Amino acid sequence: MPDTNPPAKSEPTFTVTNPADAEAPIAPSADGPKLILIAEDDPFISRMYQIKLESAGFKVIVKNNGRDAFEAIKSEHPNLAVLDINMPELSGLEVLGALQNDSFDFSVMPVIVLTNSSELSDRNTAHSFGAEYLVKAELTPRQVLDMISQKLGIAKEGDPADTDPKDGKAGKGLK
Amino acid sequence: MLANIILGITLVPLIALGLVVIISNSKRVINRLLFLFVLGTSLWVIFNLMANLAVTDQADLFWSRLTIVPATMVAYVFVLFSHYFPVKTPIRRFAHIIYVLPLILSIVFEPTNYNASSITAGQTNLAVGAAYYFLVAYYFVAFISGTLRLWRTHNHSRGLQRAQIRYILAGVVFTVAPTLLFSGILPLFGINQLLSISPSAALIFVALASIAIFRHRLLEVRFVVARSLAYLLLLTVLISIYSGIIFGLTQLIFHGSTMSQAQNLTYIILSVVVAFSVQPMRGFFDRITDRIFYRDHYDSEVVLNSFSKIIVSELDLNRVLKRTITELCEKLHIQFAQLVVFNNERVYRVEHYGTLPKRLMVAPELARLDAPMIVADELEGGERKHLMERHGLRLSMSLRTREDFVGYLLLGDKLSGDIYSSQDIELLEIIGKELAVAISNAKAYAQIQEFNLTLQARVDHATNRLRVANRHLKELDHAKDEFISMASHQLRTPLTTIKGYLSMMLEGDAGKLNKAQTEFVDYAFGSSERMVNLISDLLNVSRLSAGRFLIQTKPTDMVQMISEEVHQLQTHASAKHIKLIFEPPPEPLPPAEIDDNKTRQVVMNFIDNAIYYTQVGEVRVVLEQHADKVRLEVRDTGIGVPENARKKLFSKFYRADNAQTIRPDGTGLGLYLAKRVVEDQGGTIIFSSVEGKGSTFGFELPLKPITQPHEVANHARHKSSR
Repeated sequence: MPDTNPPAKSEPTFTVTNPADAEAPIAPSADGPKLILIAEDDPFISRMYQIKLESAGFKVIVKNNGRDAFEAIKSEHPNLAVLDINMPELSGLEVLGALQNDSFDFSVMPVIVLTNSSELSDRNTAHSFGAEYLVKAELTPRQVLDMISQKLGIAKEGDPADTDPKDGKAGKGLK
Repeated sequence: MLANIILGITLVPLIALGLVVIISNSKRVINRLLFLFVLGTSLWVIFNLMANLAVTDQADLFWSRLTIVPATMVAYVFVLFSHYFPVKTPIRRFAHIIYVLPLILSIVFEPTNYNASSITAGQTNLAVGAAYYFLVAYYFVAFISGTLRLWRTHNHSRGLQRAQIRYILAGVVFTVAPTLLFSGILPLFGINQLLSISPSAALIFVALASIAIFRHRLLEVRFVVARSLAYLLLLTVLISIYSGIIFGLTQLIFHGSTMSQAQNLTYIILSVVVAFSVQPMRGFFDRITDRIFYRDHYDSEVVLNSFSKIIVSELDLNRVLKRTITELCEKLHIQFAQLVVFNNERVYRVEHYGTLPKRLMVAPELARLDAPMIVADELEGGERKHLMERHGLRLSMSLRTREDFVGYLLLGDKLSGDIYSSQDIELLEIIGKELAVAISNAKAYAQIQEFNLTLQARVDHATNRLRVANRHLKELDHAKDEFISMASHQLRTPLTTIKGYLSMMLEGDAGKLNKAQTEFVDYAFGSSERMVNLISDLLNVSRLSAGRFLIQTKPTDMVQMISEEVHQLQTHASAKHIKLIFEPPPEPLPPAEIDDNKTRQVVMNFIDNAIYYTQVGEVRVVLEQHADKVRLEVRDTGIGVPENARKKLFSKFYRADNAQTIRPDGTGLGLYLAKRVVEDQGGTIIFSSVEGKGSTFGFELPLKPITQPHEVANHARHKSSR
């Protein structure tokens, strides 16, 4: 819980954790590492998530356009897909539309639409496919990672089961 | 013998004139006086005639003596007439006695020797008494005073009346002067030869009075004369024809001999009965046909009434003109008429009735008719008469209200071809005034309407310009929202990277940081976080104005949400040496149905503000449950909100002065959005402040939303239930 520490002698609020220590127990499962597809045309951003996810033990495929992402979903069968909306070739939402046309079974692969567009219509479209809709700028990579873990049903240490996508952050950060 | 025939002939028109005058209007004093005047003259002529016809000197004397009574009566009546015509002027009682006395004297002395005393050799030798001298003197006085009086009146009157007086005067002078000479003065000198002729001078009077009556509408007798004459002719013709036919037929069928005297008489009487029965029947059919065809007869009251009705009921100038001119012409049976309305000395509107004139009058011509009323028939000649005749006009009136000149009413011939009667003239005088006022009003109304039209046009024009400007503004506003939306999205992409990598550095993804590095990166991370929120505010405001601001609720753990926000801002508070304390409720809180993102932003905004505007002390965040509501308060020990700023504090882009000084980069959007977010979720904003001591900002939200969740929220639920 937030405390009343005087600022002068306050310790850094975020405990610096060793990636191996922190994430190692999460990702490995009975079936081996989970495969995450990231469709993102900004390489800085995709790299950022890739580092964070891989450090948590996930296997990551990065695609920088919608067409490639669609193909990869069909050929690689990732456990979860993180789709940007504004991308070359096909937008993230068009990828979802194309998958639906292809009678894709969304129940085997949770989808997170991760974008900086906060248009209501986009949000509604994403929800209509059963996808989670998150705004990139409002989340840290850590929070995205927590969300993914939650979607894949990977329990985290010390947190009550919750539908709140951001529930992981406080627990992790404050401990 | 010739003298007697002339006298006999004189009698017929004289009696006819008297009858006509009294029949046409027996109640009017002028008619009565004129009747008495004519009666006296007639009696005088009759007595003279009787005297001429008398066989014995005795009879001659009797009739000659009698003549003085009607003669005195005529003189007396003439004086009265001069007083009563054309309008009554008072006669002094004394003067009246003086006038009336000779009449009494004439009756008293009539059979005595003070009158004519003897006649020998058939009137040519008449001996007269003292009364005779006196009466002749009286005739002189009466004649001269009456004439002078009428002459004076003549000089003061004008138009029709002047003409009437002139003819009456002429009639009297030309009748009385020779009569006085022949019957009054000459017999005094023993010259009696012309005595028997003198009464025939009355013919001159009859002729001139008739001119006054017929040409100058004296006494309204025209109508009576016309009808009576027609009646008389009808009777004569009918009786002649019937009798002729009866006699002719009896001669033809029965060869003359078989018809008895009595039978013939019966038939003649029958024909008279038939002739007399014609008039009532004709009257009956007249009334029926009068309703169908125009007749030169109307009731002034009725016309005035219907005229007033039109004037009262119409305001539109064109309709006033059309209806009044039509009414006037139809009721007065006028062939054509023209109403010319002026405005600022120029012709403004013209309305016609009947056949259009060949040439319209132009303004300078009309200007010559500038008189209340001009009757062409009364003009002797000259420019006006010439002008009116050239345009076929019989009457012109210039219409004026008390203040304004309105225009002209120009009338052509009557359908009957008659001249305008004095009934017409009187009616027109009244109507002219009403018409002037009505036209003046309607004109003002028309001008107001014209003004309204131009005004309306201007308003329309201005409205159009405003509409265009408004559309332009809306486009600009839309473009602004688009821009904010696009800019915000574009800003978010680099911000995602900055914030993301900074958070990863703090999380040790790039290796362990030392204390200073951690501190610096933490500052940078906090600032990037604030920028993200700022962009969210901007987006929300642009959504609000675009009507795309929607609350999407889902079950939220508020304790967790607030502790996260407090944690986020802890570094910031520490840097300012301010204590940031969170007091969660003692009992666990059930999940609240709220919009997580937006409420989170509100909480973050309250705490962030509190830290910013507090120099020393603490910021205390208190979360409590009150029945089915959750209450958050952020209490600081900061600068507080000045009294004058409190009302506007929650409006868009508003910033209090003291806040402006401390934090010049604030947007003035945080509290505006906070209020919207809280109220849109059925909650209330909590705010209290003491300037210089500190403020409390917060909200109270229902744990369950009052309204059903939005469609969008249903999606979320649907999804989460899977």
